[in-house]
Amino acid sequence: MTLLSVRDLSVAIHGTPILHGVSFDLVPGEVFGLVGESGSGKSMTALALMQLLPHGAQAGGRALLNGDDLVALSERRMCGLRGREIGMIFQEPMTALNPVKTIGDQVAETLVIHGAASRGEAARAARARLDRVGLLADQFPLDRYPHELSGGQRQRVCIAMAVALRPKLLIADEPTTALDVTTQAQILDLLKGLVEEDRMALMLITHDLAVVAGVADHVAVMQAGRIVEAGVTEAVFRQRGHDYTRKLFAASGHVPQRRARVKDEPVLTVEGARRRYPLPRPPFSAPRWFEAVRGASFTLHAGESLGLVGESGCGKSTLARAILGLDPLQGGAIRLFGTHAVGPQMPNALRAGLQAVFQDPYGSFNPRWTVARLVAEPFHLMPTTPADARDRVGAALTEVGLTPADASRYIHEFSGGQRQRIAIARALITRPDVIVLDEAVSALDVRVRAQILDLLADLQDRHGMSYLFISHDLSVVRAITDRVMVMRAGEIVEAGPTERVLDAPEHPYTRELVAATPRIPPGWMEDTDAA
Amino acid sequence: MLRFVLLRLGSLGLSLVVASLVIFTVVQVIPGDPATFMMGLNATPEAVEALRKVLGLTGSLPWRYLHWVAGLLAGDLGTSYTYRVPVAGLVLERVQVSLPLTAYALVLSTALALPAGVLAAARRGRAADVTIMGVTQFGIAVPNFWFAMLLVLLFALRLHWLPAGGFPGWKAGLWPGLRALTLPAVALALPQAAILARVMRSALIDTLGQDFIRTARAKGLSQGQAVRRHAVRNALIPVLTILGLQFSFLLAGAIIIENVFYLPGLGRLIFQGITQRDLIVVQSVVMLLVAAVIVVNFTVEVAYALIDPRLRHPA
Repeated sequence: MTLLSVRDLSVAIHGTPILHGVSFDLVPGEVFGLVGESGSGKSMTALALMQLLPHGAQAGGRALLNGDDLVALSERRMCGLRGREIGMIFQEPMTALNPVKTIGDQVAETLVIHGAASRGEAARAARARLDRVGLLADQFPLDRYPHELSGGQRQRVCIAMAVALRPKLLIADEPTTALDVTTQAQILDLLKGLVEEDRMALMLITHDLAVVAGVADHVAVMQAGRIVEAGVTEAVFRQRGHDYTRKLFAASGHVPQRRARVKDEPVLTVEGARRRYPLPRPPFSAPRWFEAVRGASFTLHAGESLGLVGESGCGKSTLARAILGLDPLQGGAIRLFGTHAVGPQMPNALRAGLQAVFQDPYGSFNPRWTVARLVAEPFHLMPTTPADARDRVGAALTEVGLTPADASRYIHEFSGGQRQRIAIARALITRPDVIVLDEAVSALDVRVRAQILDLLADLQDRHGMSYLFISHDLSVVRAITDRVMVMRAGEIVEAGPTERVLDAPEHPYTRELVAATPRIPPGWMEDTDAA
Repeated sequence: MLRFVLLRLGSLGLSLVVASLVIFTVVQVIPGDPATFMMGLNATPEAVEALRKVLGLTGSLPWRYLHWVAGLLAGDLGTSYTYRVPVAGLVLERVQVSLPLTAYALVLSTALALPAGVLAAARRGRAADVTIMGVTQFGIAVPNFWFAMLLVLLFALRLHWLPAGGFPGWKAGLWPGLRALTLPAVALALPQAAILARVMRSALIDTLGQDFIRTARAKGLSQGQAVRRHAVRNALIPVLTILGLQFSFLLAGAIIIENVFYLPGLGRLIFQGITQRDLIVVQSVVMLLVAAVIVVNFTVEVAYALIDPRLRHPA
């Protein structure tokens, strides 16, 4: 029995086609996964079904839900359907809730707005739904505000809101992308449970093949506004009939060729580093501190690639900032090439040997500077700007796969992957011995990510520099590092060779982290085709 | 919330102390002896000294400061050099005009601006929005005194609906008083309303782009319901900021309008005080106005916290 039947759905924004003839069916009690890279049209498909497309968008085709065509229904009828027949949750739980209303009011509103309950009944129903999504009354009374909740808890509120009226269809657009892996596992379990309990159909939109593998009954792969392959999840994963699907799979499990030549020569030593932040406090009371890093110690060797993993808020970026000399330490020591180097007074000569690449390929460049000026910026760390600065910029750009001619262009002319290449070129320009990569590939699509990982491996082979590779993504860390450290609540709880730590974790937290990481069943990937 | 209010009250008190110190220092330390000025060039030093004693200008600076503050707290603002009457009485008379006028103008401007801003944001880019934006542009550009004259020409001289100026005093009754303040209030309100409507519109447009509005729409709220139930309250913070500034500005800044309508307001009092070197008047009225601004800011901050629960925990 089909619940939703989508046929030839198309969307154009101001005349530019975005979706082309998208067709699929949803069945009650099943999870339908829609996967693809950013810009492939996954979210547009969902918004078209909700008639919540951005201004200037025009949808065509049909989408039948219980005989109603979602594409053609009037706005008034859609208001009656949204929330009652179709619930939707979104990617960013931090901003998805109204900050000035209590969570109880926001869940109850779904019932009130559809006239399904009086205020008192709605409040009781809200309580029941919040209990169901795991936010129990003693800890999460209805009068809590969103800012008092963590990201995972907020996503639970969003789910409670979306399923308050037990809709037949739930659309989840990247519901766990902004969450930590352990939280992601809990939210996915919750969604699966709701699907089974209420025989809902779940349309799960994600870029993460491993998430789909663990949850979806059926899957469709989208590329450039088209579904290129669809079917039962296991069959699609095993066969990989379409060329694009093959590329996507190859990229997501990509391990770059590395020839590790780690020398027994420490370049960066961190000894008992402590970093704390003052917390806001009322006047005349004792100062309070947040201990972000509590005594971290490790050594990075020449030519080594060292991973640092942990969930958000564990202190990994704080530690990186301290190593880069952006923040002072409150205890311990950092030695760079044997020299004591701590805090903002770090001499320029030392800084030149230590460069960084950050996560956001959009925010980490001054948009008014040319690429030449951006890449040449670290030269100010040297006593004099080298005479061949221009040539060096050109060479650095060539090394990261761009051309010297790109130097005269501006950053907005490049794609996300190209920008990250430029960030790497900027880090390379002073020929540093250590590069700190803080979530450097986290914002990239899988295929671009695979290319950047190859580039990093290649550069390390050629120049023998060391990487401190900070990431929340265990699969990336597995692909690019020799050793890995696991950080939790400001402490390094486990460290060792990457394969040993990830395959046979010793610390309970590492085990939890590894277990929560979604994975494509190894059997599904066996018949590796020579694509 | 109670803790928040108490803490804010504490900082309000502190601000008042600092403000009184600054005002006292500036007024007392700047050159120009009021006693010499009042007695004229030919006065004997003895006469000037006697006057200084009368005016409370003798004694050490700290003693004079404490004397002044104690007086303020007891409602004694000193005696005006020029009017030779207690400043408290002068100020009270003027406040009876300025405060109602300010409140009247603010109520008018808020009542006009908020609906206009909400309408413009909700109908963004359409005829209503374009019209409202055009009118507000005009409202900001037109000087209010010129606008006031047009109002007088139309409503007072031609239609004879409202008086052209002057203030009969509240003893004459509520209605004549309100009638006398209506045209000045309208003249003051319109430019303020134009600014406020624009702030409301842009704050609301920002809010409408937020994720939680999309969430509300996904729950089944219509665009109008999403605006009313979720967007407006979130957009009020910048609007309140501007309202607070406007109140402070209108209280003493209405001097041109007061002149146009022959209203005995605070603005004119302080202007006369400055031109006649009536330092006691200046010092006391400035202190009063600063206190008003501080109290308004306190009110605005409490209102912020009422609107947005995230601001209830003092940093």
